[in-house]
Amino acid sequence: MAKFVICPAPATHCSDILRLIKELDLFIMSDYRGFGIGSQILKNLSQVAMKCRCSSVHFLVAEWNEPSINFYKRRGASHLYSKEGWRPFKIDKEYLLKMAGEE
Amino acid sequence: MASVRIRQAEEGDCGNILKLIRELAEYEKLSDQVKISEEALRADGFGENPFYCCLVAELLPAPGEPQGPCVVVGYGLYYFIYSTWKGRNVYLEDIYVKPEYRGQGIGSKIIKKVAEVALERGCSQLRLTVLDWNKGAMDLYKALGARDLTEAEGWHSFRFEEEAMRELAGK
Repeated sequence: MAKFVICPAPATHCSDILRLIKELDLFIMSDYRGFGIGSQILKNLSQVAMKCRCSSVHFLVAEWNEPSINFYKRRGASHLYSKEGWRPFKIDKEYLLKMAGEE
Repeated sequence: MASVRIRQAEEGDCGNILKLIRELAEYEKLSDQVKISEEALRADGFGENPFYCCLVAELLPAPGEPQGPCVVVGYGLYYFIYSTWKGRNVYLEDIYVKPEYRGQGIGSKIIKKVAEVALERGCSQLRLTVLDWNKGAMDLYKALGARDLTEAEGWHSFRFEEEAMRELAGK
């Protein structure tokens, strides 16, 4: 099993981070899943959140992404749409510009 | 129709903002989830590293009326977030106008002001969440150009509550 360490990213890692962002977008299966890395990242994130006195962690998951949904639910995440009916919306830049330009 | 001004909230507005937060939570039928105090709002919004920004909508006195503290009838609370796909975003956490002042475009004015601030700060999206039974709100946002991300792209909101977070953190 590969050894790994979780630490805050320095600026020099930006091109690697961008590559991983694009991999996520293309759904490439990583050779590094199943080692508990995702869990450890979530643990570190929760520790940072508690240190900053945050009371919850919010995020979006694609409805077809069953492995991720199960991963989060197993760790105690609430599905806000089925539990309370919350739906995420977005307003893109072209509409922000339109609004800002109106009297 | 009342004349209304939208301005940046000041620390002294926190008491009124908290009242409106509670009114909004009651409207959303989720009153039991409001745990925040006025002290926390002051510290988190007006301390060294603010966690949020807030606009308030206040009634202006009519000509001839005595000048005094203006009544706050609505608010919009927002903060900056980051999209790994689009970069800087603004998240509109709350927007609320007291029922007796609705229908006058105050909500739209607040959102437009948030849009202006967002663009000034280099943001490319405004994000928010809305309850699926709140048709009035959904119609307002859609009229302003919003897309329902659940409907359009299948995104669902999830949350780790405090207890789950503690367990994850190993505390």
